[in-house]
Amino acid sequence: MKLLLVEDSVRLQNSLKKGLEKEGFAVDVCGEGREAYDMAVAYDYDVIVLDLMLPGMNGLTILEKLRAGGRQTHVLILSAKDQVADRIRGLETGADDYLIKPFDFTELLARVKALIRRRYATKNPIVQIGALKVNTALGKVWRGDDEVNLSPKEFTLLEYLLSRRGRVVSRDTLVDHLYEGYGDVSSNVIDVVVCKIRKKIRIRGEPNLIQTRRGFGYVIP
Amino acid sequence: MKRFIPPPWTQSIHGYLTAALLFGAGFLVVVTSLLLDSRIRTFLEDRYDEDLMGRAQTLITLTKEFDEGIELDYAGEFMPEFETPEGGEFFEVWLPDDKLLEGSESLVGRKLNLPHDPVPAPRFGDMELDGTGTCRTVIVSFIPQKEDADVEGQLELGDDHSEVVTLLLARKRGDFDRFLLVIRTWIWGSLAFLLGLIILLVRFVLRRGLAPLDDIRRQVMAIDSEDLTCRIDLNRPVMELNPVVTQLNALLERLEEAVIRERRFTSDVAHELRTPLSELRTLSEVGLRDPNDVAMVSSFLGDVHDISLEMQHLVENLLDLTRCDSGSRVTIPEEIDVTEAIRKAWSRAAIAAAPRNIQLSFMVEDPVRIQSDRIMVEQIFQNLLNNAVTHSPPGSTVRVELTAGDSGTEVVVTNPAPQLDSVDLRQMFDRFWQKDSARTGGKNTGLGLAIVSSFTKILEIQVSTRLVNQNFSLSLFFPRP
Repeated sequence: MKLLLVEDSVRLQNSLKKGLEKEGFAVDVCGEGREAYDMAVAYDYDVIVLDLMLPGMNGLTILEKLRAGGRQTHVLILSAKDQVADRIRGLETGADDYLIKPFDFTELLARVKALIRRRYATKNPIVQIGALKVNTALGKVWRGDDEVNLSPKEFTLLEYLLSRRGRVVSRDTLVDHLYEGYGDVSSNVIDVVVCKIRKKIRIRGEPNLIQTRRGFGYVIP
Repeated sequence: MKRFIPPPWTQSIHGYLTAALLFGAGFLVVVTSLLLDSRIRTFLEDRYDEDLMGRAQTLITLTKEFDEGIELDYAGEFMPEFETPEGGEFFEVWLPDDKLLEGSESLVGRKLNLPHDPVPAPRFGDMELDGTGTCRTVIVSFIPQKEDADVEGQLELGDDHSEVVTLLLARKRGDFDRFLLVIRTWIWGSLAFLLGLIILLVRFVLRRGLAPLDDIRRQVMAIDSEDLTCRIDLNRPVMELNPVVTQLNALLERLEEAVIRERRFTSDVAHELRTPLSELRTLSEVGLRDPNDVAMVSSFLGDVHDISLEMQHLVENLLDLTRCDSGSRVTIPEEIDVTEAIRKAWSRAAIAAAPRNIQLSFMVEDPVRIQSDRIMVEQIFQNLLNNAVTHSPPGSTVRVELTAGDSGTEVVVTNPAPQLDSVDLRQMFDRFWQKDSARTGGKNTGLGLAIVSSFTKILEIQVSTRLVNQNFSLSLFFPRP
């Protein structure tokens, strides 16, 4: 899952980026309003975490322009502005959530995950396919009663394919949603990650959960 | 003792004026009407009595004394009023020996129930006559004119009473009383009409006259504490209220500015405190989630240290301002060399100036001494030079001029400020004010000039600012004690 973190405090940028990446998110960061708007328009982020007081263009203007332009990307405002009026203004401008600084990192994670579930219309964080159970809120996977230890990137890929269940997802799309930056990641990396996931979740005698559609990508039927 | 509670109408200008004007006008109208009523009634009664007296005089003229005795030469055809009861006039003439000389035909056997003793002067009165009603009466005693004599006269005191004749004259006063009633009805009717007119006039005039006041009241009542942008607007200029409205609007403007400043201050404090707190919290929480990532945790520790220093700086600045506000900032005057203080401040500011190639232009070498608080003056110079360095473009020069005169010492710090507007000069001393509303100044909190402002007030240093050709100058004048 790919996030855009718009925050002018470099230290907060760094710590949040590291924390979110450790949870498997691909995180692009930006500290300047106009540049953030351009990035939000150019890429289909799963969630934008948006500060309000920004140089160049403030967060509410970015949000307003995104909504006016028809962008439906889920936006979580992260701001020191704690007044009810500020929160109302933020939500009425088109934000999906509002979190006041200082905040609990775990809460931020939970809210970001909730927004992602909302994006892919899966309210239940638990997905069960045969003997495989995935809890997207906790980031955990079980094969029968045994917990499977997936790396954050592996979990995110599995979660993304589950959110698009029944649809073929191309390697490029997976790169876009799993890796930060502008797609300079080799699509081979996806094959490697898929291979690792298959090994970890495979149940003897049963077909692979993640199936390859040659020339198109991967799908969980 | 029971406290006097004024009636409600005295607590309202409208009520008070209405009551006072109505009472005053009503009192005047009633008193005038009473006087008018009394004067008109007296005047008419006097005229009526005069007329009655004229009639009596006629009868007196007709009463003559002959050798054979006294005779009333009276002819009914010339005085038909005395002929029948309907004529409404009656008389009796009494001789001195208590004999009735003559009575009018109109009495029809009745008697005038009046004393007929001689009276020294005409006596008017009222009486009830059976079958006729109330009559106005006059009793006149006189000495009848002797036949062939020119003298005729009324009774004089000391005259011989044996020749005195007494005339009793009565006239029915029903018509006169009705006339009086009509006159009084008109008077009191007019009074009632006038009072009604006054009530309407007072209400109209007061409503119209006090309309601007009501307008102000309505507008003031509509002011919402959450929205102070409204201003009081009079529909038409009122000389007495214009200064009030002007003052109220000025007050509202100041209040609005104060509220905006207060909100901005609160928001700025929140931002300045919440941002480093968020940074600390996120750094610690993310670090604690994976303490084995030594490289990450180490870099986080460096950030934590920097944040701690910045927060310490912020707290010290806030404490300085709080001490200034509460008056607990103690000043210790001593001799200070301004030249040395400026150079000392620049030595610190130069650390940030060097990478951006910002130079100092300060030509004074000789010591210039003033009496003031060393720590506060050095802090003022430090803040001004730090500010100049932060906001000057790379490669520019910060110029400091020092002039010592008889009246005092002046220090002017000038630096290029391409981002600054003239309107900023009014706000730049506000706490937490930053040109960039996003407050992305990093280590700058917007308290430097606020501290300069507070310190200079305490030390009685005069401050002025100028912006000429995008060069910002701040002048400090230390008056000689």
